[in-house]
Amino acid sequence: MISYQPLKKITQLSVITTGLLFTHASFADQCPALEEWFPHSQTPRPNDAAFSSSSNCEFHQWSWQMFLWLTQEEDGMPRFLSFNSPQSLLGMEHRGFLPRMTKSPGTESFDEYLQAGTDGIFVDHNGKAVYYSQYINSTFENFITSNQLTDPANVRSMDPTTAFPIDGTKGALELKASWKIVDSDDEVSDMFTMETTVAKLENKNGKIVINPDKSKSVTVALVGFHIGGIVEGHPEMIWATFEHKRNAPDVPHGTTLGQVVSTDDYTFYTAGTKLGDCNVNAAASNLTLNQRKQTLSPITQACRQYAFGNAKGVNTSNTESIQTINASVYSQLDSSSVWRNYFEVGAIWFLEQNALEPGMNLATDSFTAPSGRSVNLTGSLKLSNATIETFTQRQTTMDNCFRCHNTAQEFPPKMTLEPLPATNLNISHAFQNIYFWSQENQNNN
Amino acid sequence: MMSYFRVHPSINFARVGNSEDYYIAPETAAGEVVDKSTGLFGGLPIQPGTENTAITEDDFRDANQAVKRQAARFRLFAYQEDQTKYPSDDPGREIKVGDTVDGKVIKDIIWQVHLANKKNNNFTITSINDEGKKVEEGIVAYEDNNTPPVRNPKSTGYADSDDLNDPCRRTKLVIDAGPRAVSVSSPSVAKFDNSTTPNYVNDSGKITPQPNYPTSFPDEHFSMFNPLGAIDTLGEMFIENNTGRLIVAGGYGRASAIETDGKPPKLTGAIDNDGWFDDTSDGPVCATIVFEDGSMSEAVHGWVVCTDPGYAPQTRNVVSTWDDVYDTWIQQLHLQPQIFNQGFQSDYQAQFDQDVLPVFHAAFLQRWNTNLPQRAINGHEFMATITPSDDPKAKLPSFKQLIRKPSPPGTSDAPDNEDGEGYKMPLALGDAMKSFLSVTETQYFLLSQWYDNKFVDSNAPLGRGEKLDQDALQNCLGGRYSPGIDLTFIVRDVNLYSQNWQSEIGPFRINKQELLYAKANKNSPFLEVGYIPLRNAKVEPGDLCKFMSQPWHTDYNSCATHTPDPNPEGNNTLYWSWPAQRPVTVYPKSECTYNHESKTWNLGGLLFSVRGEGTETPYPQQQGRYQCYFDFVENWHKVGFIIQGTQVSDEHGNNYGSNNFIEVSSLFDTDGDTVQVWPTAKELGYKKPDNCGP
Repeated sequence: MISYQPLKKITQLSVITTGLLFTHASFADQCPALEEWFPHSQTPRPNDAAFSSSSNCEFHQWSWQMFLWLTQEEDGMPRFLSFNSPQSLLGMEHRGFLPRMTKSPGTESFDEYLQAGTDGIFVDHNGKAVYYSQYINSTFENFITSNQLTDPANVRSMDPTTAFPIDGTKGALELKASWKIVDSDDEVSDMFTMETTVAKLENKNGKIVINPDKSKSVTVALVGFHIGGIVEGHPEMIWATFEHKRNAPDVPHGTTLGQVVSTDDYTFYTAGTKLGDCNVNAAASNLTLNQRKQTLSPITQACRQYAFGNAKGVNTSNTESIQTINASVYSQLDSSSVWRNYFEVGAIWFLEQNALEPGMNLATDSFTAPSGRSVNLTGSLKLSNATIETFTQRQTTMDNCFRCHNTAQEFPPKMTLEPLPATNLNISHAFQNIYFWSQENQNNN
Repeated sequence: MMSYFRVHPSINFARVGNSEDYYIAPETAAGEVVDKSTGLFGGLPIQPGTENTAITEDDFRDANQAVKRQAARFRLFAYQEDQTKYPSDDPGREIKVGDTVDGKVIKDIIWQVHLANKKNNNFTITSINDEGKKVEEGIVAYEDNNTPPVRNPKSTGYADSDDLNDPCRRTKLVIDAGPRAVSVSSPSVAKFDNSTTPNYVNDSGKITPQPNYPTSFPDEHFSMFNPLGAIDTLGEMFIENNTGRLIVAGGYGRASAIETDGKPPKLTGAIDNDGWFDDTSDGPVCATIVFEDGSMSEAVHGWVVCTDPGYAPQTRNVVSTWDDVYDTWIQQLHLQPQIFNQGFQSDYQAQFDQDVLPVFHAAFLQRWNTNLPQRAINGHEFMATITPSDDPKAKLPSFKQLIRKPSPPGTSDAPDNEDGEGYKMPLALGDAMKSFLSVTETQYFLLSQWYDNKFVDSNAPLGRGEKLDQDALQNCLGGRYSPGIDLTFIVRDVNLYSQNWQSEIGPFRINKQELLYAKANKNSPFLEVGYIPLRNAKVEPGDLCKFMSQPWHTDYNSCATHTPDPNPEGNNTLYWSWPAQRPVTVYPKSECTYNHESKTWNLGGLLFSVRGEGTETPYPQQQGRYQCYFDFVENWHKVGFIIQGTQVSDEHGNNYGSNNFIEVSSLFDTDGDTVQVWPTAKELGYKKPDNCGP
């Protein structure tokens, strides 16, 4: 049984000066948070059908407005926690933070402890694994259900150009949150926390896995949040990400591996750590689990490779938009709101409207689509969340959302399943997982 | 018609080791399931004294932990029918002394081999482009009558001339052991060394000493730095007991350098190091058949190449040397006009077992030498599950978006070129002037035929000799000749081969220069400049390995992972140079754990294959190799070997399982740097150590 704590009211926040946040207020006019969003309790949902792609700022305004709406208190908890998980569409058990055991690594899913793409385990400084959870909104759900896409045969016979819809004003959404397990001496007063249960980790067949039959009650703190959402003109979704302000330091431009990134401590970074010791994915090589203590070693030192998701001097207007809207939101949120301690790292989308096609691998920022059309990614071109894509921030093959969220064909995680053909819906990993899970369900029945 | 004879394999590969002991080169192909009951894959070398018993974990090193050499075994086959097509209608038969051919009894078989190493009297691998930059151009560097610069130019002080034909260069800079001959009737060990007298088979079919042959070893001409011992031999050969086959073992993995003022030159280059020698070699393998009636017959020759150790013999290259050789013969030498006749033939039925499955198995096997993430491992393993009964389009929904379309060498700017499309397969670095590896045009055509449902399960099998030819080359590296491991881009040059194959000669034979040993003169170098790509000079001993790295050690050490060259704009991701044959990461046996319930072995953590002191660095682009080349010269023998778990016995009376390919016999005693799964990225700021020694 999951229980949620009321949202904590923070009276005074100790703001760490990272150079990231809440600066450049003088630019607020460039990309403001709209007054109508505040107070937070009245933030309206963005109208996805009315999205006009009129400016870079509009994408960041959508991102922040959506973040505020999703974190708006509803029945005593942030709204997004009331959303269903992708596996709920298949009638699979919703187990809070219990990661699925029945699926092979390689498919992202609700409540995972493995980072997507690299199978990395992000270990906090208490030695505890960071957990992940995924959510979809009703538009997403209804689309899958009404088109009977939980039947893999229907996916295979579907027009591959089919895109996720906007239902009235509500586009399809998929969300991913990252959660740190809170120990008694952790300072989490400026984070959103709640109680839940997580499955325990265990050593099995030479791998570190979770055991869904053994769980424990914990308090978790939200440290990262992804929003992928459909708006008018953007079937590829706007991909925005948010982090807690104390997660990790930004890596100063030009820092080499032998140089210290910051002299300040962060939740996932020890002051004085060199860049070469940051974002090291030990999972395949030397990560060990103390099963009794439920602690992993070595811990992960996290650094944010690209502030606001771009290299220095690239898309500076995008960076200014993010900085100013961050500052604008901060100035308008109630001073006691825990959400003042989260910031938009960045967002990324296609420059061209309605440009999504099946078979796009999105391996580069500018490319020729299968149809011959020139397409460009824009916004935060090197966007990663330091807690969700910790280990792939630098590598150009995986350094933004679209590198993995694309429309290419996908091989199955198990040899008994059929591949997913190239379709526009592949942009959603929730959709990909549903396709493979539904095959497994069929095979099991 | 009269029978005729051929040596098989047409080209075979010995490999260096620092032990006197040896095992026999594999006679099965990596990636080929050779025992369906155990799941054993081919490519494993053979235990000496056996027909085909695969080696085990215990056979890579001798009692002193030295690396055993891989010896090349050659057989003699008789054919009765003219070869007009490939495969031949006549599968041939292996013959031995006492057999009857055309009514005549074979009295003796005399084998003759000549080994040499011409690396230092050849051209560099890198050439200088129009902008004055060093570039690797492969065979393009030899077009339009051009060549790259020579190794050891006059300016280095190691030669008096830049002319490869200069007798002084041909004397001092060539290691030439001269010919040796052994007979089945009076077997002996013939050493390719500096202390025995060369001998050869004369016109009368007799083994004849040739004391006038001008053998040449570096210490005879220079004051040498010999950290692993003097290069005073290129190996030996002898007759296999009871079979009459020939076994040729090569050098010991030595690297030596010319001293100037008592010091060797720095070993700073990845592939061209003037003043350095190694003890690899190559040369023709000839056989004379002597009949009871006194008549004789010369067999069509084979060729032996001695090269790097085989650290992962069962991991098939997605593009093997065979694939490049076959592509050349298909497209340029009319090997199978039903496949290619002024263009690929769209109605050709590909063979799933021979043309398609090897590519899928090669893909599946890459994971054992590389740090692929689980998602990629899943994809590769999925490829290996595809069977002829599957609908290709259901298994690979987007063939053209998955497989990189090849383009001819040196055509990076061709329309629709996919050389730079890094997300396509194979996921490895490309050939000279190409960013990424692609299958050959013939492979791509055959895969495409399968994808279009134009295929059969299997077709006419090869003859045994033809299969030996194919297997030897299938176990070698292709595609990325920079310069490579076993052979290089010269395998795509038709001038390398005897082209009138529809005859007794058959396909895949090196265009051998006739060598008149009776005329040898002690005071004059015997070997000429020899073969040069895109010219028609015939091929001498030493002409194949001379296009490889000098010494081989530096290239092997360097070629773990790199960014592509040319590097697509903005890319920093590292890719594997030779993921099948130069393991980057391994699953060591020592890290595996036993599951007492299932009685199976679990893999442990990934480690770098080349690891420990001298290798460690936080810079991913430099990990998994020594930071100083000379350290690899001193430590190459410590590198472990990857072998299928069936060949590794456990203490429970079983083995490590056919599903595991694990590292054994590594002499590295530390875990080294943490291995992170791919992708990894090149980072700025790396500085090479300034205390590297030689």
